[in-house]
Amino acid sequence: MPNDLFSSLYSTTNALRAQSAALDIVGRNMSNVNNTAYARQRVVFGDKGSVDTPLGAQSLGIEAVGIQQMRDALLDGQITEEKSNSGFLDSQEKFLQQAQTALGQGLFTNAGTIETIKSTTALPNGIASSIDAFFNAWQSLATDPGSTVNKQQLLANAQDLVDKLNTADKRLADISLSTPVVSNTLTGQMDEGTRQVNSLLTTIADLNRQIGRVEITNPGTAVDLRDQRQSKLEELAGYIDFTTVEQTAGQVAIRVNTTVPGTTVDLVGLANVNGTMSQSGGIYSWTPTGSAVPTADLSFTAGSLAGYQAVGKTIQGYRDSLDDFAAALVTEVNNAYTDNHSAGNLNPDFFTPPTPPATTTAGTISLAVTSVTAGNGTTLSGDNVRAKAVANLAKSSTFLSGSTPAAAFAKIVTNVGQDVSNNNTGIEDQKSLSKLLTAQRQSYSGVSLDEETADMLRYQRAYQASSKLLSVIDGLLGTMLETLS
Amino acid sequence: MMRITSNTLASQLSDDLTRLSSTQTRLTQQLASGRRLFDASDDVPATGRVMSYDSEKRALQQYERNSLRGLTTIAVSTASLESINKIAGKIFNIAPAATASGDASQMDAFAGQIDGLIEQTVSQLNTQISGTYIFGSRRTDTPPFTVTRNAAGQIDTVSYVGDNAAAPTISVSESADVATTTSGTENIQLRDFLTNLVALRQAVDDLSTATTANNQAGMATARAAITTTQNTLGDDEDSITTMLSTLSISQLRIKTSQEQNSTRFNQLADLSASETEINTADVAIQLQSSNRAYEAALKAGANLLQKSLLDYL
Repeated sequence: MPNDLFSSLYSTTNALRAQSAALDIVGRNMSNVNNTAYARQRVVFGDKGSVDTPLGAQSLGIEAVGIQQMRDALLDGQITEEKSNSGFLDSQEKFLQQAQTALGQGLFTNAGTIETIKSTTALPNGIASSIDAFFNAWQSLATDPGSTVNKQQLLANAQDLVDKLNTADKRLADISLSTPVVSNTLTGQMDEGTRQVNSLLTTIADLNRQIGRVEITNPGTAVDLRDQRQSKLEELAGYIDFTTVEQTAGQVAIRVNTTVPGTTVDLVGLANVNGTMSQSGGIYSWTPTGSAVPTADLSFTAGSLAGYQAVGKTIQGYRDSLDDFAAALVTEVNNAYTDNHSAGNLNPDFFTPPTPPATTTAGTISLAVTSVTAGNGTTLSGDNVRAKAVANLAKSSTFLSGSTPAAAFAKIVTNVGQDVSNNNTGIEDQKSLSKLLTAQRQSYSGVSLDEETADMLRYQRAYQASSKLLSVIDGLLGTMLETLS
Repeated sequence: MMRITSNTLASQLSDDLTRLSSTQTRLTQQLASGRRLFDASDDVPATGRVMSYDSEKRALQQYERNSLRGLTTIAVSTASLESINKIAGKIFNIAPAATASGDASQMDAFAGQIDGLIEQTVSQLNTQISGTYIFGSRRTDTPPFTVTRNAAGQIDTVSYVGDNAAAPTISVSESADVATTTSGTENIQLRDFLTNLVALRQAVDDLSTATTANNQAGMATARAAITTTQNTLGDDEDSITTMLSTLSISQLRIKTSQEQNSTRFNQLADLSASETEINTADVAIQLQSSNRAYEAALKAGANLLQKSLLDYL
């Protein structure tokens, strides 16, 4: 192109277009200032080329050669991974809290009142209080073996303990994963999570399709769609852990592990969802498109769906501990009360004994008697030998795993408390880590209004300068044309 | 240097306010309730300790109830035995007087007095507490001492139908079990005491009859029987004194246990309170500090968030 006013006019026009595009990006950045999924963009200016002139090679001017998205793939990957870890812990939090509540073991004190050894009002201290009340009632009976009131009080206290164990087991059953799994609150959450995953997979596959259409010819240009997909991937990570595998035209596959070591399944490949995820009995399965039955069980180690599995098993562990406690209570009390059915002891079993091979559980423990005696079931109304034998179980350190009954139950409570505490600490740590990573990403990808305002002024000035130049060239050309006329 | 974006400050402020608000809520809840711990997860080791303290406290309260019951039983048993001991003392006045007297009608009066004391003793030994007979060892639902009467309505024979075994014990502390009633063996001694009283009354009656008939040989035999019975009753009195002493030792053990239990209970209550209750002053200061930080965060945030380069265009 010759080196003349017309070429200057051409390059100035290009400059105006480039500054205009930059201002457009500034406007887009500003409008997305509060969109956390958005990564700020920058116009990349480039030389439009050059031509050889008698004066040497000369530029054809500036042009906007592309839009750069300020996104760090490493940070995105870390944040996605941490979303899975957060989902794993967060999903367990409320169920662990519920398990703690289910035991009904608050730490009550009579703050502001003076409690003495002669106080008779029992603190409402859940199962622990009922365990003590049960054994203390045997003490009362041993002290006054003929007392009808003491006998009735003992039966009432025993029923109270049984009711509390039954209730605690029922509450825990609703949030545990036992074998077989019954429909409960926890599996309901797993079903809901599975539905959300299927929905997100569909959305991500659709975004893959749109990105593919754009980037098949212009790789890396579907920046807004990539923002949206990254946001959905992070949302998906809250439910499951997965790896993304780059495919053609900017598309990604979503790959997860199966329960068979070393094997994986692509839930999404290119623009298609490859099947449907489902949940049954606490197991997540994958049914490929076209198949009538699941072909693989999926294995998750992070995300809320894995969290539900983990917390369900943890809470089932609490139930097992409570069952062990109930079984020990039945065995030990029955043995003490009947003196192991020794000759001369006429007492029946106090608690209903299990029918082998079944064992007593916290959910099935029940009273077998409607009346009680303090002795060996003989006519000696003042005999207290059996009442004392049962009462003394309260201080027997061999009741269950080398513990007294109260200590054995306290161990269950503190185990639950420790798990809740660990989970809370994990959540706090995870929050800190996520906050740090999010802040780092914000620092790199987030929009700064001050920065955009400065850019806006910069591009405005450049646009004004180019406009002025255009005006001058136009004036010169006009002058020249007047000369010709 | 970290690049600060428009949302950085707002996010940070929001996080800080949430954290401070959470702290304020927790501190307010603590101040309102006076409690530091609500759930096991608040402080797991402390929970384990508090549950252990509370369980031990409840056991101590039960031992206290056992002790009170035991002391009541001992008090009633002791009162009965002391009453019987006094009866034994009276016998030692009556018996010599009856022996020395030459007046049959006086002797009949002495026999009547002894008969009254026998009735009184039987009544004392069939004493109940809330429907429970206390001198039957482990048989507490029926009167332990039964009698047969002669044609004149006087007690003729006394039988012990209670239990012969050792008295049942009650727990008054983690390591102390004490008996609060007499044993079957002791109760049999009490029956023997009654039998000897009946024999004494019979001997006085015989002396009266012999005196009326001026039967010197009979009088001598009756006097010898009175003396012999009196001696035996002396042994019985010693036995009753021993029983009282045994009960007194039980009473002392219970009271000692009560003191120890009470001391231990107060220690546990203090330990439990130190784990579960707040120091009001500390928490109030923490709350004040938290409130100040909250206000500062609000003011600083309000100032910073209002400013932008746009405001200077």
